[in-house]
Amino acid sequence: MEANAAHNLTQERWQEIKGIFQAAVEIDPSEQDAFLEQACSGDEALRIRVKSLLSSDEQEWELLETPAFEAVAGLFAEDRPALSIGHNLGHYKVLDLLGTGGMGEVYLAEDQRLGRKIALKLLPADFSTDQLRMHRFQQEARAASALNHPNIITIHEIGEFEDRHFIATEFIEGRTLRQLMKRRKLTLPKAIDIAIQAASALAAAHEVGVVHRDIKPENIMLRPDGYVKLLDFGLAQLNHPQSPTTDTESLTVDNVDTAPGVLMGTVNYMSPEQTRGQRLDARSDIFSLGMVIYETIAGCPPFEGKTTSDLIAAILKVEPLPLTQYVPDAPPELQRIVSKALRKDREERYQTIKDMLVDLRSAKKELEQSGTTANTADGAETAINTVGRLNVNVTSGQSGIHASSSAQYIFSELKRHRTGSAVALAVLIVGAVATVFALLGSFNQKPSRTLYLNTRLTRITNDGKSHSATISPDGKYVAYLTREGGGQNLWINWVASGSKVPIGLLTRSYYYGPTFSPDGNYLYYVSKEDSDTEPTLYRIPTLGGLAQKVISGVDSAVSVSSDGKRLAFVRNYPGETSVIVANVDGTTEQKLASRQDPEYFWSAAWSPDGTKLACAGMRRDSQGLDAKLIEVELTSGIERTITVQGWRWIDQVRWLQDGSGLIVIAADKEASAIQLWLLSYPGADARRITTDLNNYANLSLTSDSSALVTTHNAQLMNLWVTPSGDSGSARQITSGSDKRDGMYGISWTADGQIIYSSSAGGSQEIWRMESDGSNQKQLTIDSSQRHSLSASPDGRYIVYVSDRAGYMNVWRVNIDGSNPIQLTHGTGELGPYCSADSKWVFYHVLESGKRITWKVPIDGGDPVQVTNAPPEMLGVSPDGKLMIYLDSGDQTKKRVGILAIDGDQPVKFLDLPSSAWRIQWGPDGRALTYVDWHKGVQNIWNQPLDGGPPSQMTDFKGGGIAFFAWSRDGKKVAIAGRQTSSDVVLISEVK
Amino acid sequence: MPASSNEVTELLIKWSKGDQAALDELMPVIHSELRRLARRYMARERPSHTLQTTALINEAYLRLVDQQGVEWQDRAHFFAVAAQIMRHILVDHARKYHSDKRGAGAQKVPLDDVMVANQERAAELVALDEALNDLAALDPRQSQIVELRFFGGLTVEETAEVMKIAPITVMREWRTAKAWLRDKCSGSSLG
Repeated sequence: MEANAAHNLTQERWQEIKGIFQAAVEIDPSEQDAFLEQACSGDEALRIRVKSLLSSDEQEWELLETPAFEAVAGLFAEDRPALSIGHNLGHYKVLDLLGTGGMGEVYLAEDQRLGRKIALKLLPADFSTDQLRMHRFQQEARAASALNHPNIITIHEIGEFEDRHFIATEFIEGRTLRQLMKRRKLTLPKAIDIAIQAASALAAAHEVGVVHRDIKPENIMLRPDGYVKLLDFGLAQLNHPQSPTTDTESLTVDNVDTAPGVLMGTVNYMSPEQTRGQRLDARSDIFSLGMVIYETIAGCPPFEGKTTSDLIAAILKVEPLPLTQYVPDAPPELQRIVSKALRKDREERYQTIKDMLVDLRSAKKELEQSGTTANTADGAETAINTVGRLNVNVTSGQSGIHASSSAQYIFSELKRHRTGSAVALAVLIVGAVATVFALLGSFNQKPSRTLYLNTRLTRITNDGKSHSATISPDGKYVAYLTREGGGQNLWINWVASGSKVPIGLLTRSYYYGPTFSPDGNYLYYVSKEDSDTEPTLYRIPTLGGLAQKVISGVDSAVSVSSDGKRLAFVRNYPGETSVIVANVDGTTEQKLASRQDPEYFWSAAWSPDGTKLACAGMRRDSQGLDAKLIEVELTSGIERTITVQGWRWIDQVRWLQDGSGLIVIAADKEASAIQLWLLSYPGADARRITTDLNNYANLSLTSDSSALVTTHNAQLMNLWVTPSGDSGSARQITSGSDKRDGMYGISWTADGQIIYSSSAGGSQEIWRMESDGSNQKQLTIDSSQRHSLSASPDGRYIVYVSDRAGYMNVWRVNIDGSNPIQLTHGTGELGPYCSADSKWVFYHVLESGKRITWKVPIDGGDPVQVTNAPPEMLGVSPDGKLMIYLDSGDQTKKRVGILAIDGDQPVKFLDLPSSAWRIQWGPDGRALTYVDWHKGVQNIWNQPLDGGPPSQMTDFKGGGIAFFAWSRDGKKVAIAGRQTSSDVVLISEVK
Repeated sequence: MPASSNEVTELLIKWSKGDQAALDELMPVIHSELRRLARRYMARERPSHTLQTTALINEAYLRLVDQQGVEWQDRAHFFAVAAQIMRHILVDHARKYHSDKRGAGAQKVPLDDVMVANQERAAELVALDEALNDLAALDPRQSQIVELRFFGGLTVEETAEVMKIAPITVMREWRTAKAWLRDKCSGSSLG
């Protein structure tokens, strides 16, 4: 903006312009000009600026009329354009466009970190919408790449760029088999060599459970040195929105026929089961490879059709012509191999690719013995020989474009588990210990209506820093995390003895939902490597071992079925959340139920018999949240609402062992705290198990439901008193976890007592006590909200702000809490305090964002504006002669002005830190005191008026300060200090 | 349950007490959560559908923070930081979009009406962001109001609540800020 340099406004000038503008918009447009003439009183520049603002004000500006997110949503919705040459994508620089197709665009790019060329495949934007598929694809592609097989393309990175996924792979200078076939018919030995290398790649991939799904000549590349590289492992699943993930018949021939353009290319090499929409397995790859081999030898595909449906019909019904029809000298062994690979019924095909590979090799030998020599690449044969032996340690080598040496096939078990061990926890527990303690005894199962009526609450931790706890099914031990230093320590606590053992240190802060397997042998937890990766479920053996990755995309705590075989959790998709069920090893995922925004699932729990899941379902609307508990039947997917009453929040759910009820962590519509509840089942009669004002998080039950473990979160607010000038000796005078003492203000009475707000009686009221904490007495009982308590110096009244009459107004009660009187009746009066003579109550109202000081007689009467008070006034000195006010503030400091009570020019300015707050006079009137944050801790600071360096008055080591107040004699400070704590608690049935 | 919610709550409290290090820790968590939610919302975006920014931030808040464990001030701080982050995400996106469309990629893609409109929008947003920085130097409170209202999607009343000022003040300042920004972005004399 060039205008910027030319018109550098000062803040003062801006205030002037703003003031006139804001006044001008209030008056009739016809009178504006006259008003401006007058208001600007000859300052023409000023008048022009205000005028310009006014004309802008009249114009509609669509951009600011809707929130930014709505206004620019279109930018996100629109597909990204293709990358351009020279464009940088992270550390990749695009050098050239290699090709485009249904699977996106492929670019040649330079990895600028490593200075090597790579191929960059940018997937179409709509590929990325199904996170489940994307996620599985990534898993498979990485798994295949991690094999470091010489015939499998190496993936350097799978990432995301502006919501489009990309795959960075090794760059292969060569041609696809399709391009090669177009140029010339391949010789028999060459065709067999390609088949062997491709089969070898598939064998390695199948070994680790990865099916390619899209074997076709376009996905097989040949390098000039003879190496074959198989591309795009697992990618195919992204391209078939209708393609089934379970054994259903959802993809029919008709489905395919409706989208011939999309699927045509792939249909050519589809197996019969794929055209039927059945689930694919390794044998489907065998069929597709059979088709490719046939085509490379014969020069035409085994099945052909003018339309997609003709082609599919051929795949399903037609027997291909024998190879000898095209290549008379094709060995019978080769014909046998191709025929066996192309059997319609997969049960009749090669059952493993390895068997096919063995046969292909014999065919090759046969051919060599008959005198023809294949132009095999150096090393390629060697590579084939290692197939299937996945656990051998092989020397490392350079994987790159120039595969001249034979030792290309690096395989490292470690590498394969790289992701899994990222959060590697070295778990070392003395195995024997686990079996020693028997505790909690065995409980007779009680029906839900009597369960948890008499409970005992045992604190497992008392440090205020522990959370994410889970109890083992036998109730013997509890695992939990403790925040220590910069990380989190995982502990196991033996309930009977109270002894605890550190298990390991987690350096990431993303960790949640720890859950024991039903046999207690494993501990599941969800973790993320960093904020941008998907939350992933890991499993560690309780008795030692490495963390194993189970499944990614886990957005809730996981529930393990009581037979230990299945997992349930919630996963978030774009615009949708779903309850996912999977095997404990992460396989066979099934989407059981889904919710579209604005509804969503939050958590899920297996019923004891494993036939259904109880799921917390939320609905968000303008009124806030509405939560329900929904049961979903596993086989039918039928849903039913369990809850009857309305809930504001349902966090976690666990079933009682006999299925007669559920325990939930939830907040009902009335109460604000998130508490533990017991719901009967069916019927959902709700009963609170905990009845305090704090919140609970995470939940686990013993297998007999007789004890549960949860995390108790408390906001502690307590009072301290410290003698002036003695920073080390602050004394805590109130204690307790849910009283919130002093949260809405503290004040001293003339006779040295402390007035403070407290929720000790349940509702927030005014209390009074001695300065040593004794003699605590509740003064009010009417449950109205009060802020900014201040006692009058003469000891008669307490003034405060309350919205009892609809607005924030100044009120007064007698010092004993009786007789509330409303003193002001405006639309917002704040910050009351009494004058030194106790005759007036000063307060402020906000006008144009500035605090304007008013006063009202303490005995009642009309309010008067204190015209000589500066805006943003902070207080009057103890001797009544000076006022302080906030003059200005920015990122670096707050400037406080000091003004004589009858003066109009500040006598002094003092700069305080920008984070200073609760600025008030020190008791002797020679310093300002305030709360400031320093080295991670809040303390009270003292800034002498003479401008010397500030000194620290208190020595708190943690937490925050909500309020502080000087005693009338200036000898003591009362402080309302805040700390948060979380601790692990065990709640058990009392027999 | 997202990243241990206690932690986020604690960080919010720390930050509200002026601990900038806490904000540094907090930003990526909230950023990632907002991005995640934004993507979820965007994914089902249709022209007829109205996105609700407050709903989005509210949801992030509910997911990240112990709702009752924090005091009102912390909630206000959350909205303030979330609005900042929304601004960052959206402007960043607009900036990239803008440069992409103007760059070499442009000739490859036929510009239809929607894209032309989007491009203008992106340019406007980038300009607005720059103007807002200037406004912050001049009138920090006004710029925060714009941040909360426009990027945070807060209503006048919500903004008043977060900033602890009267709704009438928010309206007055908002109107002034809009006029100033409009003036500034259209390159006229004020500013």
